[in-house]
Amino acid sequence: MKRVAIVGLGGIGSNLVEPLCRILAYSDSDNEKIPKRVILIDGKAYKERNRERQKFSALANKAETTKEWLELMFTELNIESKPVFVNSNNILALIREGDVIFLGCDNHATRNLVSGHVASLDNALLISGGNELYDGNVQVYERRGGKDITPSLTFQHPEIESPIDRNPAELSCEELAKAGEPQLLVVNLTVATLMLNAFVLWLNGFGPYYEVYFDLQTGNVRPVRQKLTSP
Amino acid sequence: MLKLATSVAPTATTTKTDRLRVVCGANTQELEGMLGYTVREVRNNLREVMNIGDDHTVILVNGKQLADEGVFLDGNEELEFKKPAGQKG
Repeated sequence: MKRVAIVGLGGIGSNLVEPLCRILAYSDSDNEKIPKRVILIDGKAYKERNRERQKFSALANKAETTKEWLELMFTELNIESKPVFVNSNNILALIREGDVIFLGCDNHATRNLVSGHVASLDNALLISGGNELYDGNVQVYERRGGKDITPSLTFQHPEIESPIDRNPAELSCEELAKAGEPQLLVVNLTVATLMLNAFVLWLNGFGPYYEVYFDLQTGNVRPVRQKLTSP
Repeated sequence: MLKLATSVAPTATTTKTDRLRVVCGANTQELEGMLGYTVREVRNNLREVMNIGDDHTVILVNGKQLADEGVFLDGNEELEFKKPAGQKG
């Protein structure tokens, strides 16, 4: 695995990126699975109204401003920024063979696009997280040797298979500027933590689940387990 | 244990070992005496308690996807109303 791509640097992505870089920079250097190149991808700018929930240093493009402070902290890593939305025209260049992808976007259209692209790769690991007000889930989609090791994001998720929302690349400036529905920092943090959990398990050769649900109101976390398949 | 209210009486005798496990998202409930209930009845009765929305359209019985909610349960299955993926981030 050569690179880590982080798609979406909002509530989930902006809280995930620093601990992830700590893992990449300071974990077992003998583990060849640990990439040292990080690609940050987001076409939006940070907004003041989101400061309670999102970690940022300036009201500028999310990918570019995150790169600025991350590369000061993690000189061991090669960090790049792509200030764009992932779409069908650029996805081939943005997400490549062998990538580990952390997907923390806010729409199923992008989840569908990225999952479909990963399905065309021989080797990739896609860790996708999303939430509602008090609950959410993380899905782990691994491709190895041209085969699905775990199911794609659309498996048993018709809302991702046929999304009714739209890719932000297709929205007008007015539509993009509209405030989204309320979210909670602690819920975004839970998604980010579960995504990092899944990555660390994968790094260490464990892969007992391909999806995990959580509900902060009940305190429950439930993995969805699958019999592992060999490539 | 949660006891469901239904207008349709079960047609078979319940046994002491009947235990239906109902799953939705991170949450589970175990119910006794569900022999003869349909999947639709379980959904309707647990809708609020387990937050089962109308958009929970994928239904799994013992891990296999079901097409018809009118199917009768034998009371010992795992019944999952698959929760849609979180959309926001």
